[in-house]
Amino acid sequence: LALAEYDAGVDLLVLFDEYATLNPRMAGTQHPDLPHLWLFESPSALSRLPRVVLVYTIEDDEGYATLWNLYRL
Amino acid sequence: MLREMQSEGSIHIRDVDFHGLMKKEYIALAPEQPGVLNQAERDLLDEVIQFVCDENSARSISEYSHKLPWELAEFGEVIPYESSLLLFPVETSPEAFDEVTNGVEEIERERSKGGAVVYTELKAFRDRIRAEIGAR
Repeated sequence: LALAEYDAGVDLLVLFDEYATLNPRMAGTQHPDLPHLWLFESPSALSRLPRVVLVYTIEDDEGYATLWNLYRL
Repeated sequence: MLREMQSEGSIHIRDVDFHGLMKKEYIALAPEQPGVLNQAERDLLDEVIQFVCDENSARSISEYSHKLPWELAEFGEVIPYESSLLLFPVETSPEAFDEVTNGVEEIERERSKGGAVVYTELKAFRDRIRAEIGAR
């Protein structure tokens, strides 16, 4: 992300962290064709936020979620 | 602060009738001081003004504020700033699905290494980002 978007990007990561800690299945949407991958998209109503999608997996046995990548939309 | 601005003549405050109710109006009498806000900050203010004043009412803004973040917080607990992003419902867009589909090989390559960079605390992750991009 560009430096100007850094603070907004960090807000987004903090939000995702809190949300996924609470309930990773509530935080995102399961990919219909790749069901092991979950997506969390930034709220598009706020132009301050960069439009990104975070990709994560849910490790039920270990009890955590793993963030794998961030794509710019 | 408003009284101070009024006494120095930079704003005028008046009570007006609004559908039978009293509404306060704040009218700027002086231009903004140059150099206080940068362009990005002015754009953000304009966006918030448009959202609150043009696209919503006091009732709809109140309804926004009583959504998920408010419900998640314990009584008396400070509502985390970041949770304000949960005020807006998010539907995953088709382009997000496409982007992930196109990038799945890269993800699977990293997963197969079993090499997730583990940060149990987000602060450590944030500090690493700050260090890498030289943020303030």
